[in-house]
Amino acid sequence: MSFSGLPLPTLGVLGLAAAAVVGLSYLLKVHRPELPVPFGALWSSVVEASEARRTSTRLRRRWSLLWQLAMLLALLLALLEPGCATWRAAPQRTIFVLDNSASMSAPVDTASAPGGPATTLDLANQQMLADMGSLRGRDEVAVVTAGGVPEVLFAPDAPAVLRATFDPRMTATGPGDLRGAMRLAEALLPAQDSAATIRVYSDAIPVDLFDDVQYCATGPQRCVAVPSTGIEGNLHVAHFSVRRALSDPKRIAILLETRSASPDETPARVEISANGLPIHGEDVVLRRDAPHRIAFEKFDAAGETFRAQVSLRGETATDVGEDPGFDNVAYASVAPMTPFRVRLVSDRQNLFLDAALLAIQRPLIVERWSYQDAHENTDASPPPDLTILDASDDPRPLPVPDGATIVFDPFKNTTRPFAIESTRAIKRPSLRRHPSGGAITEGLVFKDVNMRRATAMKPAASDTVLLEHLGEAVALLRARDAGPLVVLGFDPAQSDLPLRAAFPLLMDRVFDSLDPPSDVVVPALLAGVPTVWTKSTLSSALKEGDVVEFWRRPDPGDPAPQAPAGKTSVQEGRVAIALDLPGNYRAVVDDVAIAPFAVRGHGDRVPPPATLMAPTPPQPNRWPPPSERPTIASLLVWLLALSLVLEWWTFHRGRTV
Amino acid sequence: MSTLDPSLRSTEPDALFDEAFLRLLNGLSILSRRLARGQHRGERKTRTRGSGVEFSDHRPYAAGDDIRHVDWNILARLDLALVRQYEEDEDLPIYLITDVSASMQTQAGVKDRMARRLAAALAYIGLSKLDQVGITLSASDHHEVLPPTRGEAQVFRVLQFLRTKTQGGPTDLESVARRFCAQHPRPGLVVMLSDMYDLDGATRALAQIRHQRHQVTCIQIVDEHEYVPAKMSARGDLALIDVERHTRAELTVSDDLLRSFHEAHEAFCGDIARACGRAGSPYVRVDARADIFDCVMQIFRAGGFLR
Repeated sequence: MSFSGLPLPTLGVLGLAAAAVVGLSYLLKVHRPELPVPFGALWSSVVEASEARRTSTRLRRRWSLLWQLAMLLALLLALLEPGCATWRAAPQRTIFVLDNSASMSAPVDTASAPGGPATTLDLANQQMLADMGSLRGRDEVAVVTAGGVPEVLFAPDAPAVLRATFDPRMTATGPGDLRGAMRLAEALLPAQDSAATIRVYSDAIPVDLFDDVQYCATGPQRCVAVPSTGIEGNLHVAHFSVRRALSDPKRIAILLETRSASPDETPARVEISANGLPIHGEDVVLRRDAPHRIAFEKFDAAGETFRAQVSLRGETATDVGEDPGFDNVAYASVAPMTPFRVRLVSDRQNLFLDAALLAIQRPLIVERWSYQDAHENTDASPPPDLTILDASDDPRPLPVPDGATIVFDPFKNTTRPFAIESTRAIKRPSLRRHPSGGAITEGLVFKDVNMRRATAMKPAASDTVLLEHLGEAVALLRARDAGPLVVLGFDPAQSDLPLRAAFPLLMDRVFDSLDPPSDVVVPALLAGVPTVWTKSTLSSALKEGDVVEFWRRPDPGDPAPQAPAGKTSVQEGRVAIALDLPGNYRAVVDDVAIAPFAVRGHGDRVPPPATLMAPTPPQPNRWPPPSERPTIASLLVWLLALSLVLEWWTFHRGRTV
Repeated sequence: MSTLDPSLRSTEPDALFDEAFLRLLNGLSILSRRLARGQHRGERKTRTRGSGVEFSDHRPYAAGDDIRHVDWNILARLDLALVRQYEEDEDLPIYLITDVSASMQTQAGVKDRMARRLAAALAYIGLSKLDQVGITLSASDHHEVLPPTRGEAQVFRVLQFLRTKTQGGPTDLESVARRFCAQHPRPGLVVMLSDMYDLDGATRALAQIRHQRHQVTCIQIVDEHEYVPAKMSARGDLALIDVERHTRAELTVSDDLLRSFHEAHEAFCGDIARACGRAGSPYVRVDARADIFDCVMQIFRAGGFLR
């Protein structure tokens, strides 16, 4: 109970003045007017037979005074305007924004409450009607639906009228346009000086709309996002990206951000799966203004397709269904991890080479050949990506193979001819430099290299010198038609420790120069949003006119798709993609998968496809504010004031009192 | 004189009998003579035979009779001694009893004013017919008497007497009748001008006067503003002051109460009228605010005053 009427000092002065007027006028009225009558005896006989002198009649005057004072007291109390805040508040307009997009048709758990709402939309309808019923009769409400085409379902009217006419059997179809609905709702807001509330019932409040809500919260209008308790869709995955760790491509870097639109703390469970197998799960408590982030820099997970889901704790995960706006689940893919095939031809005594290969941060398939194997070369398998030839101890001449090749100390066996002519053997250590190693030797320090067994080479004009000693090349890179050739004029096994430390890095640089690492970020697009990629985004191998099919990888438990989700062709070097269902996809050309990619549910966070967007509603003048209806308090004040004046007038007109 | 309210005081004497009233009196005198010639013989005659000038009858002579009344012609012709008898002329006095009690002074004394003006009018008529007219201004505390007088020249004396400010006191008609009868044993025509507001003594007073062989005419002067609810302004909480007994009664006056009082008042007046009717006494009820001429005509029509 609080009082919002006149201040107590003012009311006290007013009350004292009024009481003085009433009391003084009563005192003046106490003296009855005298009426001389000539026939008192007859009057006495008549009066004795009547009730004119009854006790209650005689006390009527005193009762009148008490009655006037009581009404004056009640009037002063009414002027204080007692009551609770909601009862006293000015009429307020509430605009209910009801999301009736397809995502709202998600079933809810009815096990705990049989016969209750079956879908999220039913739950939202139920809560909206309950909220509508809690409003006062003099308030105004309006309903705006946020379906594919936002519309004003009910213009501002009394809550009782809308409750009587609102049909809760609404169907949820199509994508949602909460922004358009918000624009319509804002158009229904009254003038700036009137209180108004926008209550949004949606399974996903767009993150950027929070800014609008915040903006409204600072102004006279009060926008309240009202995620219904229990509406699962208030949770959504705001960001989910997966890529291979830069320093360790065999590991995965994961960044997941989940949000809740509910103003209350929402217990939720976040799960991440890779290739259908759960790899991470944790229970979190989400708050509206505090996104929850999960970041794994190097997550040891084997898989290419990832799926993140946030759901209310204790509830079963819902199926994404056919809703492109469903954003409780997000998908991401990483590029396939193609192993680098290395063929190491040595006498199998150089463990230093094996150690260097183990330090390479990329998957390797090392094929170790003996000299015998190299001479026979009976393997019909595809040629390796890199051949490391440490044939200095092979007494027989071994030809340099095609393809990328690294040759160690080819001049050890002086009897064997080599494509690069040696100049002389360096006998003593001296200064060295690596002037033009480029990306391969940049930052590498071959300090204190024991060059006594190194061999200087005579590079060709097209060769790239990787390392020089006394102005002579001791390591170079030669570009061949058959493949690049890296020649090291020294044996690292014979080198000192610094060289041993730099050698694995040198190898890694060589690998990178031979096989540059592919883009670790797999492209992704938004469901329902037509997107145009260059063909290199999928694969540089695509040719003009190639037909590209897009196959969705089924979620766990889902059957394998029987038909591609989409099909397009390469035109002018571009690929146009439009997929409606979130998920992990792969692009297939002639039954060969060429690239993975992910389709993310857009929810309400991004504008829906242009073809589905509602035209921007005009911004007319604001809807007139709700009319001020007389309140019970004001009626009471008037009633008491009228009663007091009537009683006072009746008292002093001297007729009935 | 009442000290309760200035309204109880009588009107100024000069306003009581103004020039217009005196012209009215002259007209009433002419009118009364015309009415007397048409319906009555003229002056009032006594039933007794006496020494008048008009012959009435003969009777045998008896010892002791005045021999001057012997009809000598009959004695000579018929040798019968007869005595001539004559009708004797006799004045019938008119007594006007005017109530000057406090109840007559309410409402600015309209009833008292009407009573005095009626008394003046009737006295003038009586004096103009050579009747003796006596006036009594009486209440329980006051009793002023103008002895019967005769002749039109006495009209100014009558008017001067009626200007007397004697007034006030309670209405006690019985004591008034008692004192009147004691002072006026000679029967006459008694005209009672009063509001008769004596709940128990009104009828008894009239009976007492009749018992003295007076012929009584009751003229009740009432004011409608004192008993007709529609003309009464008294409503609400009031203190009723009995102007005669000076009693105070606080009560709430409502329309129902006024209606009850009106009914009781009518019943009271009806009782007086019925009592007068049973005794053969004319009864006239006069509104104090009515025209004086109409009131006199009303009295004439009721009979008893003119013969």
